[in-house]
Amino acid sequence: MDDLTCHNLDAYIGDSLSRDKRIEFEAHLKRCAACRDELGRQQRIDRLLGEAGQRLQPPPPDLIQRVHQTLEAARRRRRVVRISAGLSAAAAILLAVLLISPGRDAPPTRRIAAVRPPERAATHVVPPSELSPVQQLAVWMASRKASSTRVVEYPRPRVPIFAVAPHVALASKTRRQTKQTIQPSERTPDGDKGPKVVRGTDPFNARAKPSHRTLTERRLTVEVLAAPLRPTDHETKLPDVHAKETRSCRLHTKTSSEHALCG
Amino acid sequence: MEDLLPEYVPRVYRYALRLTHDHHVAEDIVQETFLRAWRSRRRLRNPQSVRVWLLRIATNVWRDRLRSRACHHTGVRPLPDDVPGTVQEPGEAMAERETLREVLRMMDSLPPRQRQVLYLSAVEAMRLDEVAQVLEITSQAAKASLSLARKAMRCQFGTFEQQC
Repeated sequence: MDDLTCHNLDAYIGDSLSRDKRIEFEAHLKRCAACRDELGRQQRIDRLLGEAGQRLQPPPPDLIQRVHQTLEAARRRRRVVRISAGLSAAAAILLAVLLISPGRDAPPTRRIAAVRPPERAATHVVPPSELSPVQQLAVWMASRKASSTRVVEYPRPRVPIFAVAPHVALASKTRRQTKQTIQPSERTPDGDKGPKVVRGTDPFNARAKPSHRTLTERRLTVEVLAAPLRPTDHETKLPDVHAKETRSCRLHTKTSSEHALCG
Repeated sequence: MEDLLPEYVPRVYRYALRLTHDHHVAEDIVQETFLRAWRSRRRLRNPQSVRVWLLRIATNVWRDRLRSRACHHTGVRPLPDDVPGTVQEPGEAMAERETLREVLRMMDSLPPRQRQVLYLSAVEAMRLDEVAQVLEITSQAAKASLSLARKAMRCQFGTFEQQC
């Protein structure tokens, strides 16, 4: 028995010998009984294992059905997760839109409060049905944090707001001018509930006068008439005597949002 | 995926049973295998290699179970009803079945890697490169493991024949 050639038995079985080596090993097989026995034994093992694929114990009859149910459950879970993700994304977008709406985070200042117009001066009620859907949405957004609000319409200013709004002198002039235009029949009683639409002069613009432009160029401002349901931090820090003014500041900051929406 | 179940659930189950020697664990591995396959179904680019793909997932599931539960089935525990037979079986067929059981026991006594390579090569009739893909090893490593497994099987089978 040639040991070097006998070691090629596994390579011969695995069909990994070169052509010359294969011919050489087949010649060796005719002379070596041990290699023939080994080869015959290996072929029998391979045949038995090859049959085992069909003869091994089959799986339980309901295993396929259980696998099918597992896949169905996974499919349902994925569907629910996708729907939940879609709803979450929509809620996040809605929340982001509400949070970044202009004017929410503007800090209140006494200076702006000082140019606040007289309460319910020079106004008269207009039916809310005159508002467009976008305007109604804006009113709803502005009234969420308050128990009572109203909507005031001012004519478009003829000079930029930033040029006149910071000046207290203009505010006092506005107050005087507004007092002159008050009509007793146009006053709105205190304690009004729910949004109302009123018209008047723009207290931010000292030179603004009521005219026909008021009817064609709508410029809405939402005013909080009653205390918010949950006061914000800076509101609670201020003394009670300024609380009203502070709420008024929120009105002006909301004005910008109204302009952006109603433009 | 449902179309694959009738053909491949038995294959994966037999492979898992050969790895674990536990019917319940094998069933769990089958379920987990098809669940993972369904989740990663987009990664299967060649439909011709479904068998390799599924058996590779089953191998990974089995490895994960070994890691997480630290339960090693070395294959020494025999399966009593490994090769079921018929009631009215001729004596020759019964002897052949007993021989097959003995060969399976020999295979189960091999180290895990050699056992897997021999099973995939002899029972599943896979090529060496497919075996290497299933086990995520090189073809050379698969070839070396197969050679060792065959040699060990011949040795044990020779002893068995002498006893008979």
